[in-house]
Formats: sequence, C-alpha cells, structure tokens
Amino acid sequence: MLRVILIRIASLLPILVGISVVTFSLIRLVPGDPVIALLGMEADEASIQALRSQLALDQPLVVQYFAWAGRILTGDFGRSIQGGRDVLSMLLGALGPTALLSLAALVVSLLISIPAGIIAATRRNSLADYSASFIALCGLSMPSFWLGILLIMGLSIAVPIFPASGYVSPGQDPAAFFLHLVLPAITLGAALAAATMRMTRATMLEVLRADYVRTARAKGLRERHVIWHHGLSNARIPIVTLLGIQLGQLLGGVVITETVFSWPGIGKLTVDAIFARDYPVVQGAVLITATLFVLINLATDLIYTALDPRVRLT
Amino acid sequence: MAAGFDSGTASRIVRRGVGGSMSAVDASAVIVAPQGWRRLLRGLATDPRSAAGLALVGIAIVAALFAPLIAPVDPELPDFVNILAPPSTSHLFGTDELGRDVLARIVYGARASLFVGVLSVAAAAVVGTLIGLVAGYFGRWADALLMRLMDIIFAFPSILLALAITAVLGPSLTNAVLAIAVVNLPVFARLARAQTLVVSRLEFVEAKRALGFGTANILLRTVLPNIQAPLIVQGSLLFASAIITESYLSFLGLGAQPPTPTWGNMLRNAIGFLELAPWLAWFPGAAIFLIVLGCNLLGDGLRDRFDPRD
Amino acid sequence: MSINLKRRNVATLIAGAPFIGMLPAQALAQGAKTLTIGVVSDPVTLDPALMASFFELSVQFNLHEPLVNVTPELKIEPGLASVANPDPLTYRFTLRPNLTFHDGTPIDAAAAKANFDRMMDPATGSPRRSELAPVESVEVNGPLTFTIKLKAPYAPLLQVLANRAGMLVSPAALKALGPDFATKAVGAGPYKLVSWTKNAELVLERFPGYWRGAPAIERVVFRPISDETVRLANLRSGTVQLVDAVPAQAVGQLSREATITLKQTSGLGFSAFSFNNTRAPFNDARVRQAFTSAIDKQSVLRAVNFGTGKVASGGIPPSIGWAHDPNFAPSKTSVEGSRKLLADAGITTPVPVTITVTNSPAQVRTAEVLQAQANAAGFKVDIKQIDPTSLITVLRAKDFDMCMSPWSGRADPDGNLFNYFTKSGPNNFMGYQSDKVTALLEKARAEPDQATRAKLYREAETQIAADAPMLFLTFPATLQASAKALEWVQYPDGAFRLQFAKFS
Repeated sequence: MLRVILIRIASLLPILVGISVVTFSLIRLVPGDPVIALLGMEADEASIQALRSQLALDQPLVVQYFAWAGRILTGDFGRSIQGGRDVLSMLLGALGPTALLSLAALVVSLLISIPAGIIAATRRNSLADYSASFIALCGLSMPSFWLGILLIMGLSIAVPIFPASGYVSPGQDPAAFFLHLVLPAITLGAALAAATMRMTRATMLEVLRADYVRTARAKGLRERHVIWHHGLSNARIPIVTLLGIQLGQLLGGVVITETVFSWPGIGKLTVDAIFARDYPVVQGAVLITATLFVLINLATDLIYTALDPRVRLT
Repeated sequence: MAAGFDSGTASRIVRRGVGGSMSAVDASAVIVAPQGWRRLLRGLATDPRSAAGLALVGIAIVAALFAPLIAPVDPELPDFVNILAPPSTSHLFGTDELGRDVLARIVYGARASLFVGVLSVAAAAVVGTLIGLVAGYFGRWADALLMRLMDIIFAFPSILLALAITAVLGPSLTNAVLAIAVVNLPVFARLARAQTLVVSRLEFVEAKRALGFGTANILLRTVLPNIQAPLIVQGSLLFASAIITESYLSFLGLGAQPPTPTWGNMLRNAIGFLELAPWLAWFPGAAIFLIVLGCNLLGDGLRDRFDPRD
Repeated sequence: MSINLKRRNVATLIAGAPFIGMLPAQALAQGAKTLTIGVVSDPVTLDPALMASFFELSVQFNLHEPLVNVTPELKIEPGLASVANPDPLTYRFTLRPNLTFHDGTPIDAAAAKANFDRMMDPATGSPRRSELAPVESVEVNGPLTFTIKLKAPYAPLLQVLANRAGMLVSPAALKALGPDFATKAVGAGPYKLVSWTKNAELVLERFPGYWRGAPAIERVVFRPISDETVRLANLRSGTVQLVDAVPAQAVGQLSREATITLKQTSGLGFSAFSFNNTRAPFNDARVRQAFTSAIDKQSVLRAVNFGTGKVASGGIPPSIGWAHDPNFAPSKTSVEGSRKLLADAGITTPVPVTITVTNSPAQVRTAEVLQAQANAAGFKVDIKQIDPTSLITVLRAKDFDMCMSPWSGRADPDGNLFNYFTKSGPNNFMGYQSDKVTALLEKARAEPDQATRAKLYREAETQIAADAPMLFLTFPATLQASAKALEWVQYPDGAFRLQFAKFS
C-alpha cells in the first residue's frame, strides 16, 4: 500500500514540472510588459532597462526557468514584481481565505444537495423530484458573478443582513468573519450543489434497489431508517469521491466569486497577477494550486479505498 | 464548473460494480446498440423533464439560426436619445445603455452563445475522444504520454487556463472558443479512454483485429460507436458550462468584443445598471439560465435513455 | 440524525440572522474611530518617488505630506514648509520646526535634499525626474532651510511640489528598509502605515506628530473593490463609509438617498483618445479631423457620463479658471464634413480603425459611441479590450490606431499638456511632432506672468485642435460618495485628504 502511494506521488512530479513549464511559457506569451507597467507611462528607457536587469528579466528564457525552478526547490518562490513582497508568504496568506471559503461552499453544497438528492430519489418522477432537481440546478445555471450580485442586492442592500463584500480574518473577529463568509459561500456552493445532487440521486436510486435494502424493508424497518442507515451510508462512497474532486475543482472555480466579493484568496491573487504580468506570483500560485489539486485527488482515491474494501488502489 | 467528474475514479467505480451516475455503465451495459435518432427523440419527448430540455435547447437553436428573421431591428444600432428605455410596444425588451434593442440583442446573442457552446464542445469532443481512443487502445507509451498531457491540462484551474489562453491569443469570440475547447479536452479524453479500455478487450473487437481490420477502422467503426453514449451525455453538460465560461471571460473583458452581443457580455454590462434598468440584466440572465437548465435536463434525459437498467 | 432536526436548525439560523447582522453594522457606526474606504484598486507602491498610476491617489496624501499644499480652489499654501520666491530661478524653503517622520527621525533640510537627490538620480528610475527636469540644484542653507535653483523659469514648480515630487520620506527608513520601502513607506503625513495586505486592505492609523495635529479619525482602512457596482453596494450596506469613483449612472439615485452624501466637482483631468500619428490611417491630419468631426461629444456626455462633467475640446479643464477658455469650440460635428475630408485625403472608405480600450465599463461604452458615430461617417471601427498592463505597453510601442488616453489631471495646465504634446514628452504616445506647439509649451512653462501664460496656452490649444493629434471628449466630473455621518472635503483631483475628515 505504502509503495503504491509513493509510486503515485512520484508520478505526480512530471506533471508538476509540465505544469510549471506551461505556466512559465504561457504567462510570458501574454502581451504586455510588467516592468513598463510598474514604472508607469512616463518612465524612460534607461530606468526600464535598469529594472529589467535587476529583476533578471533580460536573461534568456531557459536560464530564467531553471533559475526559478532551482530556487523553488529550496523553498524560495522569489519576490513579486509589483512591490517586491515575498511570493511564498503572499501565497500562503491567500490560501487561508480560499480554504475557508471552499469548505464553507462545500457545506452549503451538501446542505442543498443531499436532502434534494434524497427527496428526488425517494419520490422519483414526482413534483418533489422535479422541484428538488430544479433548485439544485439553479446554482449551476447562473454565472456566479450574477448570483453573487443578486445576493448582494437582496441580502446586503435590500435586507441589510450581510456585508456586501470583503474579508475579515477569523482570528481578528470571528463574528464579522462569518458574516462576510455567507454570501460568497452560498454563491460558490450553489454551483456545486447540482453535481452532488445528481450524484446523490443516482446513487440512492441504485442503492435503494439493492438487495440489502429490500431485506431491510422486509424486516419492517421504518422507511426513514432504511434511507439513512442502509441507503445513504452506502451511497457515501461515490459522494465522498465526488466531494474530493469538487474540492480540487473549487481551487479554480473560486476565481470569479473571489473577484466579485473581494475575497483575498488565491484565485483572485492569481487573476490579478496575470493581469499585472507578475510572473513569479503567477508561477508560484499555479504551482501550488495544481499541487494541491493533484494531492487532493490522491487523497480522495485513498479515502475511497479505505471506505470501500472491495476496491484496491492501482 | 463542469458537472462531470474524474473518469479515472469513475472507471474504478465501474469495474467494481458500485453504481455511479456519470458513466453509469459496467461491462455489460456499455454495449448499447446505437439507438436510432428518431427513437431517441421520441423517448426524450415522453419524459417531461427531458422534453422541457429539448424544447428550451430547440428554441435557442431556432433563434440562433433564424436571427435575422426573428430580430425586429439591427442589434448593433444605437440610439443615444433613447437609452435605458423600459420594455414597450416599440421595444419589447426595452433598450440598453446605448439605446440598442434588447430583444434583437438577445436573439443574436443566441448565435454567439450557441457558437461558443457547439464549437468548443465539438472541438474538445473530437480531439479529446481521439486522444482517449488512442491512449486506451494502444496503451503503454502512448497512454502514458497522452494522459500525462491531459493530466497537466486538467490540473490547471480551468478559468485561469482559459483566461491565460485568451489573453495570449487576444480577446475575441473565436479565441474564447479555442480556450474553452482546450480546457475541456481532458474530460473527453479520460472518458473516452476509460470506455475504450473496457470495450477494446471485448471479444468482437479481438475478432476484428484477428480478421486483419485496420486500427483506424476498428477504432472508428467498432469502438467509437460503443463508447459514444457517455460522451454525448458529457457533451450536453459541457455545452452548458461553456456558455457560462464565456460569460466569465466576458466578465474579465476577454470574450467577444463590442458591439457583438453575447448573453454573457450583455449580463456583465447590465450589472452596472441594475437599479436604473433591471430588465437589462433579467433578460440575458434568464436566457443563460434557461439554456443551461435545458442542457442539463437534456443531458440527464439522454443518460437515462442510454442506461438500459431503468 | 433525522431530516426534521436539520430543518429546525436551519430555520433557527435564518430567524436569528438579522440579530447577528445588526451587531457589526452598529459597531461600524459607533466605532467612529475607523473609516473604511472603498477604492478602485490597490496602490502599486507607497514610495512617492516611484508612484506612477491613478491608484495611489487615494492613499498618497494620507500617508505623505508635500512641501506645499493645494487648496480645493487650486491655490498654493504652505505644507511642510513655507516658500519664498525672490527671483524666477530661486525658491527658498523654510521647513516647520520640530517635525518628525513617522519613525521619529527629524524632518530637516538634509532630509529634504536627500529626497530630491534620490528623485533626480537616474539610477532610481523615478518618474519624478521629468517633473523636476528644470531643477539645477538643491542647496542646504541651514538646518531647516534649503534652496531650489532652476536652470530656467518653471512656473508649475510649486504645483509639482504640491504633489508626489514634494512628498518627503524618511531617508533613514529608506536605508533601513531597502526594497521593502515600497510596501512599508515612512513619510510625514497625517497617518502612518499599520499594515498592507495586498488586494485585501491597507490600514493606516493617525500620526500624532503631524504638523496640523493628530487627525480626528483614528484609523483608516482602504479596501480595493474593482467592480463599481459592488463598491457602491458596500457603501449602501454600510460596510464602507466612503467610496471613490462613483459610476455616473448612479448619480441620480444617490442624490436622492437620505443616508448617503454624493459629492460632485469639476475634475482636473480629461477623457481622450490618442490617434496614432505615425502610421496609416491617422498619419494624415485630414483623416484625424474627419474622425473628430464625426463625433458628437454631447452624445458621449449623455451616454457615458449621464450628464455629469463637460464636453472637452482641449486639455485644460474648466477648474483651472485662469487658463480655460469657455468659448473654445474649434470644430463642429458634421458627418458630411467628415466624408468630404476623407475624400480629400484620397482614402478608400470604409476606413478600418481599431479602438483599444481597457475593460472599464465607461471606456468600453465610450468606444462603442465612437464606433457607432464613426461608422456612419465612412469608418469601420473594431473595438479591442485589453487589460491595464497591456495598455501601457501598447501605448509605448505605438501599436494602436486609436487608444484611450485618460489623464487624471494636474492643477497647472503644464501638467496636462507638456508631457503629451511636446515632441519628446514622455506621454506623447501619439507621435505628435509639432515644433510650434513644443515651443509654445516650453515658453509657457517658463513664463512667470499668468496672463501671458494663458495667452500662450490658448495659442497652443488652437494649434493642437487644428492638427487633431488627439480626440478630446470630456472633462469628467469627480464623483465620490460617503455615508451621511462623514464630514469630509472633496478636492478636484479626486484625492482623499483625510486630515480634514471627521464623523459628525
């Protein structure tokens, strides 16, 4: 087992190298020069050249890549072109808010999708099924910036419950943190709910037809007990798997929500860095995000293996 | 974003016989004889959900194809005296911030949105399926190399990758299509590969190989028709997500350039006028909502049709 | 665990939410010691020697104090120093006594000289160099006095020193912090820096050693909120108490809202588009004039600015009263006139033109108006949206046909014209080469008499309008809004000077 895990981790390395090469090249292909952007419209040629050498941006690309890669291996992610901050601390600082938002979104998603999926499965093809499916699909059928703006208009201005945007760290003020969290979490969670609901519904349908459920019913157990204890507990395997995958996908999906709500997470950081052509930040952020994504996938597979004794990790 | 999930895991679920939704196929069920389209449509029409989906998508297709006939005026014609006018008899859906007729723009917007959806998914499906077929059939080096490439693409946060590609190529509707196609490649590749792995081990494929049929023939005529069902389902769902991704690219300034209307950029521009002219946002918002809903219903319906165990 | 139990929990949460919600909102109002401001974007740097974008405007006058200050009426008054001007080439500054920087080091003539030396040193790469180009030397005369000697008379000097070039920073901190100074600047302004989390918030707290005395508001937090609708929503929901860059279409409603104060004033800048004079089609003046005469600027004002601001025919806004000519109307809108000019130029219509803008909603709308009107006059306009980083590269590489060129504006006409319309001006992305205008602007810069200067600028503007290297559209109004409870002063340049703000 351990050997298999190690082999799997080892096979991740070429992927990560590939990702870093693609990121490095792609961001430099985007037209626009970060040094000129930094020094402004009025800067003269001499200052531009000076800053470019200082940042080692005038070296050949291959040299730049290996210099960067070498430093990454020692844990030095370099300094941001815009303002010279240490990139690694910027990234770590941004991961916190994204992680919190992602978890909250997953919770929202589960709160919507599991009951909806169960209702849809147990009352198949009835009005309840259609309504549940419809509600779950709502989140998926709206661009998240639209849903976000609607929530702001409704729950922040019309009925002033939540703040419109922004972030307060939980350490600083837990109550304010929670209030700032709700609207972006709903926005993000609603989009995920559909996939989970569909999965729950389908899996519950499968499971409820299975022999052991028929046995449980024949034994005279209450329907609710049957659904929850025999049905859901066997459905949880694919659901957990799906959640793991969604957690990974969230890392990319938070981008728009973080932008709308000014949530200082890694999605917003990366988008802003792409627009500013802040190469070290983009490269570092994509590397970390991709690494987390593949690690989460691996963890999901492991959990899945642990939950289902019939499956072995390949 | 996309409602699909990792087919690597799916295939493992598949092989052990635990039910799953997306590729709800195990070894016996995957050989679904390609149903006649007519039978398929009839089947879809009977279930109220997929019928609704079919209707919604159908309306959008009609609007896209016949836009010049349906739209009352030129969607790009401004009228600076008449900006932000509410719906009236002369402008059924009102006018936008430059006095353009919103109904006309919605109808033409269907063209752009469908263009994005159909082309990006088709491109991703064709290329991705080919990759999956080759990887699944030949195995070993081809498999390792191709799937590594797909893993690399897949590990990128999708919006960021689409954003970067569009930024490199320049903002336009065509480049948005390309970017979305690239982002969706791995989904099709993995799905096709997982299915191919199962199907290509089956007897009738072995038989064809023994009989000396060429690889291309085997792949395209024998394997492909038997794996196409989940691919079609996936395609319908990714169509919906492509339209939403286009709206995200528009939100960031990278989609179709003005004055070309897409539902995404109409919605994005309308947000600044939510209090002055809320109808500007409701119409494109509803349009996106309905087509995505329709695609999802249609996709679910197709999946139910293809799964014989129901 | 049953479904019913879960429903009950959820119901309780929803019912309880309004009570939870009230607490922070009240806290925000009563904790009137903190002012939260919604701005468009984070600054790039906090070092005044290196500031080069709009985004520092909201923060700079709170963290830093210039040698002299400008009033809302654009008059100069003493800041860190008072100034004497014995002859056109000499400016003698006397710093206020016993002042320190945020780090406690003294503000003395030596520190001032160190600042100027740094800004003018080519190795620093400071954009202030071109603003201080006419400076010959900076001499220390005593512990608190120093003299700036000029190579030639430079009328805008004091206006320049009322802005970034006059902001003194602590030389000791410069040395100690090195490259970190950009994110941890130490200045002499009413507030000092507490923390800056990029793209999240920038926090300042009041500095008791400020020369006017400690400001009324204890803490100021800047939150960058790029989307204009969300920014305004934050003001409405009470999350912030002051916002910058209110979208023009919201002006009508905001003026009717009881809890919000909308402030509107003439700005200092202009909204314009540069023509690329170095390549076809706009290397021909007639084509440029044809495009200009196809545009009805009133439509732009209506569709983009919703009636706020004024139409512009040149670069000097109405707020600079002594230099602005309200009767300056060099061209008339005429589609036939455009077509005739194009025919004269012998160019085949439709003329393909690409307008390059960033994805700001107002800029895109402007481009669409131009597109519609120019298309009717024989052009075929495409619009290309790029992000702000690409904008600067595109402008410098002259890789455009027409490109947006908004200018935030300076209090002196020289600040609005010199860098754009002189042959070697750093903002001259149009590639405009006019000896006549260059000579006029250089003369106006060195002319001490204001009336003569006004005449020179009028001549320059007339020539510029005739050559049409740039399409001037509007002088946008400065639109900002706050919670009713906040008393504050609005300046034409749109910068916040919070030493004058307090909660009532």
